[in-house]
Amino acid sequence: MLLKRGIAVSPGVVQGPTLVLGLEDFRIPHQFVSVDAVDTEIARLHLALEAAGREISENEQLASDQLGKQYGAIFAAHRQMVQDPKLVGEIEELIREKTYSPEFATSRVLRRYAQVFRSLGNPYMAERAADIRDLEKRVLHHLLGERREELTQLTAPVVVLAHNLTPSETARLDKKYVLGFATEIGGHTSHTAILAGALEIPAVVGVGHLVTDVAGGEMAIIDGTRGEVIVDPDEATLSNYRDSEKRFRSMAQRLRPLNSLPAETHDGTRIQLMGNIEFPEEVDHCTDRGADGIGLYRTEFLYLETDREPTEEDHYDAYCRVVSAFNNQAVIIRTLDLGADKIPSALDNPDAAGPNPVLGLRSIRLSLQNLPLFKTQLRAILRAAVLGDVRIMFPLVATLLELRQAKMIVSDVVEDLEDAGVPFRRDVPIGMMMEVPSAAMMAEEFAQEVDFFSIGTNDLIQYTLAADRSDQNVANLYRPGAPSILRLIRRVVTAGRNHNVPVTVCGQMSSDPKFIPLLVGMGLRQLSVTPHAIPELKDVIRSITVSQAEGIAAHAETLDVARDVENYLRSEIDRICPDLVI
Amino acid sequence: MDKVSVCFPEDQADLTGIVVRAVVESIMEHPVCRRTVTVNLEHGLHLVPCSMIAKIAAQFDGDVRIHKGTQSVDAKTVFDLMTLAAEKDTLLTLEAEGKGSAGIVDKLAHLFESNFEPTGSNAP
Repeated sequence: MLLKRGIAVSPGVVQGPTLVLGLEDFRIPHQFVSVDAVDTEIARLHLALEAAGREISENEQLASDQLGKQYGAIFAAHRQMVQDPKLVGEIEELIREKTYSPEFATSRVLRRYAQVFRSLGNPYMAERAADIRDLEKRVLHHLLGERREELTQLTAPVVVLAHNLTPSETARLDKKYVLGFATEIGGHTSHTAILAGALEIPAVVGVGHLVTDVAGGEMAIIDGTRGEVIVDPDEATLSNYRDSEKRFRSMAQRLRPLNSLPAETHDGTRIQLMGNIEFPEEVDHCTDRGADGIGLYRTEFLYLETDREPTEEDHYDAYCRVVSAFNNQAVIIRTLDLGADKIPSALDNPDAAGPNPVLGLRSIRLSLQNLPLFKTQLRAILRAAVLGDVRIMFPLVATLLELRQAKMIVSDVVEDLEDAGVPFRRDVPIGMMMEVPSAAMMAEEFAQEVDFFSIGTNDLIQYTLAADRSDQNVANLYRPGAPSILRLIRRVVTAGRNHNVPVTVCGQMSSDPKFIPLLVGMGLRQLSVTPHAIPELKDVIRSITVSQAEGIAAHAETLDVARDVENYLRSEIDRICPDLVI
Repeated sequence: MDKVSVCFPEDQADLTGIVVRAVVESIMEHPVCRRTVTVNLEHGLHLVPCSMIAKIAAQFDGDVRIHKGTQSVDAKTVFDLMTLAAEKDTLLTLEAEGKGSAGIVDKLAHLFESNFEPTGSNAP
C-alpha cells in the first residue's frame, strides 16, 4: 500500500483501477537500424507522422468545439509542425545518412529545436519548447506503437495518474470513464486543478514521485477532499473508503430536496448563499443547487487559459454568459487577482516578478500600474452589467488611496463608454475584498467609500498570521479559527453595520460547515461558497436559530487559541447536524 | 538578378533579339516580389502565427523567405520562422521568387495586416 499526500484541488472520494499516463522520458529501444532497413524505417516514420497529424486534427476539432478557437489554433500549429518540410527532411537525413532509428532521429531533432526555442530571447516564445515536447511525445507514441490509452479510448472507469496533464490530454477527456486525477506536479491554479474543479471530478495534485512506482491497473483511491492518493490499498483502508463513499452519496441524496428550498435559519432569517466560480461553465452547478447569485466570480482564467491577453470581447462574452444565467441575482465580478509573473505583457519589466509574488506586484496594484489591462476588464464589466445585477469588486486593497484611484478609473471608463455611445450601466455597485490586515484595521474608513465588503479569509489568514497557505510546514498556523481572525471579522462586520455596508465572507472558511454557526452568529448574512458545498451548508443554516448561532459565536470569541476554537465548533456542529459527513 | 554579358559575332546580330526576349521572359517567369510588413501582435511572431505563415508559404512552388535585418529565414518552415523571434513592432521583409510571387506575397502581407485573425481565408 502506498500513501501519497498532495494538494486537494477538487473534492470527493473515488476508487478504481489506475491508468498511468506515460513518463516524460521515453525508453527508446533502438538507436540505430541496419543499412538495408533504412527505406522501411523511413516509410514507418511517415506513417507515424501522418497518424500523429490525424490525431492532432481531431484534437483541433474537439478543442475548437469545446474550449474555443484559441485552443483549436494551438493544435493547428502543432499539425503544421508535424508536416514541416525542414523537420521531416532533417529526421530523414539522420535515418539515411547515419542509420539512426526513426525514434532516435525524431527525438534528437525535436529536442534540438526545443533547445533553440528555449534560447530565443523572448520568454513567451521560449515556453513554446513545451509544445515541441508535446509533439515529440505524440510522434514517439505512434512510432513505438505503445497503446498510450488516449483518454477517449477508455472502456471502463479509471483513476488517472500522471506526471502532469496537458491541455492536449484533457481536451479529449471522457468524463464518463475518468473517476478522478492525481498528478505529480501542479498547484491550485494548474490546468489539472482548474479542469477537475469545473468537471467536479476528485483530484489531487503535487503528490511528487508517483508514476514510476505504480503499475497500471492497480487499485487506487483518490481523496480530493483530504488531498490523499492511496495506491493498492489494503482491505481495511478499502472498506473505510467504501463506507465514506457510501455516506457521501447518501448525504448527497438526502440533501437533494434542499436545492429548491431557501437558505433560511430555523427561526426565519434569510442568509444569502452564493457561489464562487472560475468558469462560466460552473454556473449550472450554482443554479442547480439554488444559489442566491455569484458572490465571487474569479476572472483569472481569462488570463491563464490562452497565450495572449484577453480582449475586451473575450471578457465581455464570458461575463455575459454568467450574468444572463442569474436574472436579478447579484453577480460579483472580481477584477484581476494575479501576479505579474502570470501576465505575459507585464513581464516587460524584468523586476516585475519579484522575490515574493504574494506580497508583490499583483491584483489591484498590477491593474493600477497597467491601465490598458485594467480598463479593458472594467469596460467589459460595465457593458455586461446591462444584463443583470452586476457588481465590481477589487482584490487586495490595502490603502484608501488605492481604492480611490481604482474608483476614479471606473469613472474614466464610464466617461469613455458614454462618449463612444456604447450601452452600459453607470451605477454599478463597487466593493472590495477585505483580505489585507491594513484594510481590516481601517474598516470604518473603508466602509464610507464602498458599496460592500467581501472578506477573503484565505488571504486574510495568510497575511495576518504570516503563514503561507500552501506551505505544509506552517499548516498549523494557517487556521480560520484563529482568534485574531475572528477579531478582524468582528471589526469588519461592525464597520459594515455602522455604515449600512453589506458584508460577505467568500473564503474557504465559509464553505466549511463548522464555521457557519459562528459566522451567522457574528452577524454575517451573506456567504459565498464552493458550489458543491451549497446543499450541506444550507442544511446547517436551516438547522440553527440566530440566537443559537449568537451563543456559539459569543463563546468561540472567548477562546484564545485556534485549536480550541475549532474543536469547540466541531463539537457544536456534530451536535447540530450529526448526519453531516465532514 | 546577376548581370549577364553576352557577346555576339556580327553575323549573328539577330540572335540578340531572341536572347533579349528569352532574358525578359525569364525575368517575368521568375519575378522576385518583396514587401515590408510590421508585426502588430502583442507577443510577437509566436508559434500560431508562424504556423499560419508556413501553411500559406507551403502552397507556393518557388522560394519564400522572410528577412529581419540581416537575418533571412525560409518561410515554409515553422521552426526557422520562430528563430526570427520577431517582437511587436518589428519590420520584416517578405520575399518570394517565382511565378505567382506577387500573389503569395499578397496573401502573406494580408496575414500581417489582419493580425493573424483566423478568418476563413487565413485559417490554418
